[in-house]
Amino acid sequence: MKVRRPSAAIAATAFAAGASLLIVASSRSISAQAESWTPPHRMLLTPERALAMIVASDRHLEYVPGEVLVRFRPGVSVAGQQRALTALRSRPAPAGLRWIGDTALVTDPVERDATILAVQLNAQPEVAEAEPNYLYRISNTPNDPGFMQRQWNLAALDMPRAWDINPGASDNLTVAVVDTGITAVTRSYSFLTWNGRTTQQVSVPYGISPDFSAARLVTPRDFVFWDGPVLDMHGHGTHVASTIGEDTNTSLAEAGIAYRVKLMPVKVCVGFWEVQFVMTATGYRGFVPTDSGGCATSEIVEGIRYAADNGAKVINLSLGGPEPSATLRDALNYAVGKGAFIAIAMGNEYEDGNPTEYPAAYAAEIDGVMSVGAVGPSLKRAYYSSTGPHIEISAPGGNDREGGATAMIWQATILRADSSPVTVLSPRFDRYAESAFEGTSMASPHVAGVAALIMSQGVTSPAVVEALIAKTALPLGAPDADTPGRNREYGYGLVQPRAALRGFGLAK
Amino acid sequence: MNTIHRTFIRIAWISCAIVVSAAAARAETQVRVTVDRSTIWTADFQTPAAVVDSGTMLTVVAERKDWYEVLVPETTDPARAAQHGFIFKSFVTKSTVAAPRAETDSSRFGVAGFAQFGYSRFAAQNSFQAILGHPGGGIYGGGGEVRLGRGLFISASVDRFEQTGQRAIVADGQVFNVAVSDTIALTALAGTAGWRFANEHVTPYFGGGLGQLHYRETSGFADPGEDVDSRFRSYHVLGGVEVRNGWVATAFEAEYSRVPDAIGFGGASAAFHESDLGGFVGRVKVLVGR
Repeated sequence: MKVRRPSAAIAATAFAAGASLLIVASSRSISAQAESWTPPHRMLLTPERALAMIVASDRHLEYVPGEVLVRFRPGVSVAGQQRALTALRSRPAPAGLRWIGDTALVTDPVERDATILAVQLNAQPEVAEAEPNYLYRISNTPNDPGFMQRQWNLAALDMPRAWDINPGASDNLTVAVVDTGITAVTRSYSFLTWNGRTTQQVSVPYGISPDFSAARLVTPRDFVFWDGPVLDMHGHGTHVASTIGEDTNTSLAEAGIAYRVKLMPVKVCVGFWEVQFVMTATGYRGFVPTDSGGCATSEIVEGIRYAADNGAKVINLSLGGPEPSATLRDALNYAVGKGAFIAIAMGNEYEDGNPTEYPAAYAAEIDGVMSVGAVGPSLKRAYYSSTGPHIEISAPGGNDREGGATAMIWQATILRADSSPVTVLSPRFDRYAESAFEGTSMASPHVAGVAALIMSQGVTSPAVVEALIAKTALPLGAPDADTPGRNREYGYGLVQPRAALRGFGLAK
Repeated sequence: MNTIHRTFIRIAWISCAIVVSAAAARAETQVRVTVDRSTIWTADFQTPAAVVDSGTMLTVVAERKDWYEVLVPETTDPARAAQHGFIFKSFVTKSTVAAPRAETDSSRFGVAGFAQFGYSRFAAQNSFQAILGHPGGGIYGGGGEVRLGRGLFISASVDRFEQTGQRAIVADGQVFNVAVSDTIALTALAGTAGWRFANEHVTPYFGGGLGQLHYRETSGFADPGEDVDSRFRSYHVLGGVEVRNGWVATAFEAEYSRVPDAIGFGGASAAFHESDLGGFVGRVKVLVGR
């Protein structure tokens, strides 16, 4: 059955309809007109947030409408906070704020333009900093599965000989994947969804990837969808995690870099299906845009801090966006201070104006955080890989222009044919296959995996891990004058796991 | 080659020149016999070694309470010439006049072989500390020495150092080891020319010379070409004292060497800007020979 999907115009109409429905929908009881649905866990993705994400997607906004992150000056009392918040038309109470460390998430149901909210709050003497709750996006281009497995990327990094030195890192080390999640439970949940004609309750099966033993998934946490088990309904998080540490016992074709580490699934991003389920539960009849979703600063920050607080020594952030966020930068510093190395995707916008992407841009100023660009099988910069003075290292990210899907990054993830919003009405997330993705999202986990191997060798300082990766990189291109030792396309060059693991002798 | 390097070579050559020229200016303790027919006794004080007349000049090699230990003069029984004997102090007076030099054991031609061991503290101490966990270590070796007479000697020796540590990353002066083995082996061949001060039992000496240092660094999981195997010119000066007892002697020696521009192009040595593989060595030598 061919299903017609909404265009942007239709989506805008759907937004209007959804918005009108939301006015009458209670946030406490998500109900539908056709069927009722009681979530098995407390929902974190509220109808308001889901709708806001649709709006952001439809209007190409870089922030969650109506949400702003505020950090008050030290010593400001609750009364002072209250006074500052009176600058907003909705006059939210401090007691209702959602706190993330020393930063509060303010939701204004009246003013949806978060840039205006930020301006209003920044004008208040009690406020140290206010910024829109920026939306970052995972950046990758999934391709149809079915091609034979080709992990040229691991061969390019000479991983077999790196594993001679350290076979898959220590099982005591935890790598957090702050992303769309890694499914950490095998069971089915019922959701309401739209089948093109009516609202339908469907049983959606979820399963742990057969390439992850369940014991390797530790302290999973969902900050964005619900207060229940982490479920990956996109595949991005699982693909990233597979690059970092897919079980490896047979051949290179099914290998992850640090295949013995513990993986911490931290879900901070949602995609089409999460938004569709929540919107349908509100009574919204129709499909939400296929690119619905994203990763709000508020959840990313929570995820980073959670990972650092719960023992993750390596954190991968395969996400980004063009807006700077001081809150996000502070979270990076917080995690590094806790001893976590962070790898961040540079961004895939080279052919779209090559804007500076965040949080990657913060990497250059924080020792222990590295921004990662992508190369293809030729070890030349992938066409999409963003450049700039802040790039620090390069890793395989795939480049379909060098050879189609075989030149992309193949790892195990959710079978795309089971959940593609373009072709599937009732998805399932319990079947996995080697799938080809490309993007700096795919390059970053290579560096995260190498960092895990290095930490397993006894180098525990994030700054030193960065120094080791930088000093042992294979230079690509000539250094730029303003960035000693590196250039704007490749940073220090291609990450060299074997050289990094060997370290240095006395003479060389 | 930097200025310090050139200066060091000059010092090494100058020290050799001093050794040679010092031979001509050498002086010994002499006593003049003041009593006719004074007896020089052998070590058992039972047998006369010689009988000398007033005015005879004797070379003192040691003192023992009321006695001087002297070389038996050649003017007496030739069979006993240059042997040691004892003369009562009251029969002689010290002479301030330099006398013709009588040869001692240390100034005559001789050959000795030796074994040696000691401790080397490397000039590149931070680099060695990073890889091995300490700035130096034990050495051992051996060699041979030839005394050419008149206090001059030449020697050839070999020293060996080998220790295994861990490869590392140096960042901001801090060292983090990476659990990959790294073995450093140094073999130092040295030729030395020097001067020994005449003294029968405790003989100070000094010298200097050149050599070749064979540096070899091997590590775990290395490819061909990733290990280091190189040779470098070395320069050294040394000094010590030798305590002799017949055919066997023990020497306590200190040496300073330089092996410039041997390292510092990569690895920990580059991080610490250390380029010299020389350093200070303290060693004990056991010599056999005369």
